[in-house]
Amino acid sequence: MFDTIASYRAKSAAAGRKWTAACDEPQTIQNDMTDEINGYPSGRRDKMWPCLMAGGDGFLWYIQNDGGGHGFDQHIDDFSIMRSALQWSKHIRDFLAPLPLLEMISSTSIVTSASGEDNTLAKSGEVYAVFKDRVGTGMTIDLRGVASSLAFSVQWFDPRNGGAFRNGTVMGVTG
Amino acid sequence: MRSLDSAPSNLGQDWAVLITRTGTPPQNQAPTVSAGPDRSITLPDRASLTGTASDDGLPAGSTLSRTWSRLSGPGVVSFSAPSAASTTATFSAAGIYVLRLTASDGALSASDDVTITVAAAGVSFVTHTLINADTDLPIPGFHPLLDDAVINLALLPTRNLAIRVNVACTTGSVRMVLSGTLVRTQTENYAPYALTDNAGNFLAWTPALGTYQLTSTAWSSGNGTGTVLGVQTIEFQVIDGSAASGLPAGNG
Repeated sequence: MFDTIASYRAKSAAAGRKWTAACDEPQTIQNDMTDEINGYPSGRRDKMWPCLMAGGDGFLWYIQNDGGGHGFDQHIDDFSIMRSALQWSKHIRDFLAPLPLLEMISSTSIVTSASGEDNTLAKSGEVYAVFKDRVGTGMTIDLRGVASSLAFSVQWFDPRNGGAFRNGTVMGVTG
Repeated sequence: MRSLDSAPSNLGQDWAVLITRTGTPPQNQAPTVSAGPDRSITLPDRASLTGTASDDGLPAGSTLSRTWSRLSGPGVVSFSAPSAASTTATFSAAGIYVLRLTASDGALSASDDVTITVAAAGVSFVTHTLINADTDLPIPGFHPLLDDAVINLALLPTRNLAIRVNVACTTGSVRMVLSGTLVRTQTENYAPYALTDNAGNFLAWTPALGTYQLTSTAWSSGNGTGTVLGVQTIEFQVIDGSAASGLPAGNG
């Protein structure tokens, strides 16, 4: 998802006509709300966050119920079945809204780790927002071009449940 | 690269991380530049320039550039490495040259100047002599007064001293620049050329104890004009009493 959105944005900009890119109806809501570590790709982890971290201008959940066809989303009267997806949407908004998004650049190479994807929105030397789809160990951030004297704070945010940031640390310069 | 600690919990799950600069970022400061000490050479020698330039690394990602240029002087100057702090300058003609080392971090720049006195080849030379102002004769052991000399007042026949500059008869004037314990600049148009004299009569001068540097430049015309015929820089120390420093009297 990240690469798709980023590609549309980069190629359209290179062609002189910048596009906005959003993700609409990636999957049926039941599948998108599946959230198992190695299970079905979740809408939150593999679609919504990567889409917006790549600079996507929106993400739209697909209500359609498995097996129900369009007849289901046209007759739905209980939106509570998508409660989790709506809460995830609030959480990502809480995370991204305070950031200087118009000054940030999407990247998959500023933060790297041993496994999984690392989606970064960066305003170099100021703030780096990172979404890690599967947190492991050994995450590093490339601060080349940033004065080594600068200090940074690290705060972890839970995309699944939202809530307060939890303080972390930058371990130091390693190279 | 900087490494990040692990997520608070739930390894394997998705997490978002916010990495934010803390505190006020340091402001970019201009580079610090030194073009090195002034010096004198005689053609066809070249001048070895030992400049330095440093920067605070800001703006982030910037590289410090260094550039030598000729600010003034009668001839052409070529630098063996014009973009290096240390380089060698070659001069096409004798004279006084002011060379500038400029350093830039891309946003701010700074510069420092160095004066190179370039004497013509083989036309003349300059030496110094310590004079007994009572007798107006050279003091043995200080004729000539060499670089790094130690003048022990306690061991001299008099404390009434003068320093004479010895040059060729074609000299139009001599400019003497004394620095260190006493700072004094003097230009003389008639021989004897001395730091302390009055129409040829050496005036008594008892230098304060300390270290001095004296650069004397011989010019072809009066008042320090024309071309440079020769130049010499010496450094000497004035002490009083052999026990004071343990250094022997006389030229070092």
